[in-house]
Amino acid sequence: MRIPRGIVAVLARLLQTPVIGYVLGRVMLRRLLRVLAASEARPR
Amino acid sequence: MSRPARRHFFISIDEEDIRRQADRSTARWRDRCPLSPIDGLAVAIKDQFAVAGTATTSGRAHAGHVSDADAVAVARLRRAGAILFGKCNMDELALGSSGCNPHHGCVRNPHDATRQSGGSSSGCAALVGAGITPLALGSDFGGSLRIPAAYCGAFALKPSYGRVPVAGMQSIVRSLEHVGPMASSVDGLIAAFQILTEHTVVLPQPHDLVFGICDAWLLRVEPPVRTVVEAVLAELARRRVRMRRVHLPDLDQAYAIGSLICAAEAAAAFPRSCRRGLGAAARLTLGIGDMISPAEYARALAARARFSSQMLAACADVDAIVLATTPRTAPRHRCGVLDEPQIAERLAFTMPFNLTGAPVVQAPCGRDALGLPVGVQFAAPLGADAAALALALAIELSGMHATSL
Repeated sequence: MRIPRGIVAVLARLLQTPVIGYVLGRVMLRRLLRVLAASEARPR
Repeated sequence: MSRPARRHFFISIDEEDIRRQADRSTARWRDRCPLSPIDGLAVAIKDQFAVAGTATTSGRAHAGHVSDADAVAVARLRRAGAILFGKCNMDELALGSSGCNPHHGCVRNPHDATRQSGGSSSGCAALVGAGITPLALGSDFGGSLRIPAAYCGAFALKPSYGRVPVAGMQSIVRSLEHVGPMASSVDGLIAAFQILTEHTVVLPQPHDLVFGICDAWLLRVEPPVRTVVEAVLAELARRRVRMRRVHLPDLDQAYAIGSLICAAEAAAAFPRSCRRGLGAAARLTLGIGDMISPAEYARALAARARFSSQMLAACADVDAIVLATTPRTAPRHRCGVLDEPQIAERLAFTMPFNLTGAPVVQAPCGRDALGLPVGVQFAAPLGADAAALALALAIELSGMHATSL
């Protein structure tokens, strides 16, 4: 699942706030790790 | 076209020095002793490479110290008589693919100033695409040579990993970083590649080659881009290049693996003490890198090895793969906005070949209905740079790069 564009845009404008940057970073990292886990689960 | 300065192509440029280099080259040609075929050609340098007597910013607001010596790639170009034509703008720390730099301005696309140039080698691609310089030197750890070249209508070569030394450049993601040229023609790429590698390239005949096409990857691109890729396939068939269908691993997987490695290695290369004054996008990527644990980084490296062996097995019977460079043409500028889905979408097509280290040529192969360039990649197995160049040359000779839909 991808983050809707509108939400990303609003969050990006708030990125100067370290807390928002941290939260967005966490969300993005979780998504990347989910794709990584899916690739590990695939039959080889 | 407005003046280049307004388009933010450069971070620094020394016009007097350029004139001095040009005068020396003119004298060499007058004395009939040019140093190489590119003696006197202007080469734009991404501001990630050390050039003696200049500061290197890597797109940051403040430069570090002034370099005493050229980076190895720059030194080879200088020895060949190339005119070093300014330090070009780029995404901050190369951690972006839009061409928007928070300190040095957003590089405008030479074909439509409302569109992105792509990045991170944004200034280089815009200069070559605009016809201002015939050559440029850039780097690529996720698509940084190929994406801007595709958006701006330039040729680019991401050579096999390690073919061009990275020494003397501010390397951000060492395990994925490739140094390579951009040019206004495949001949330009070949000439620059020979100088950068100090080796001669012998191109195979296109009709001796077999190229692969992956239907699943082709279906993921927008119709105007797909039309151009299909025209390239038809032209290769007309030139008796044999085609084979291949089944390649999932593109999203490559983006995720590559992004994890990039973020982790960039964060290690730029610890918190070095981040003062960075823009939001670079800080975000480095922040993600800080959160990646050693175990997660190790998982990403293992996944990279697995992905590379899957690609190798899938491509065992072909000499190159043909695919779009980006799934759509240059999008509109949205300065200051981090569009993560857009980034994921475009890096998915370029990142696979940073994971494998394979050589790729990006060639402009047509235009969409708005006149924006469409890029196609020719990716060969590791070490087979000549095969990718041969296919790109065949397409260039067909005149497709100048055609519109």
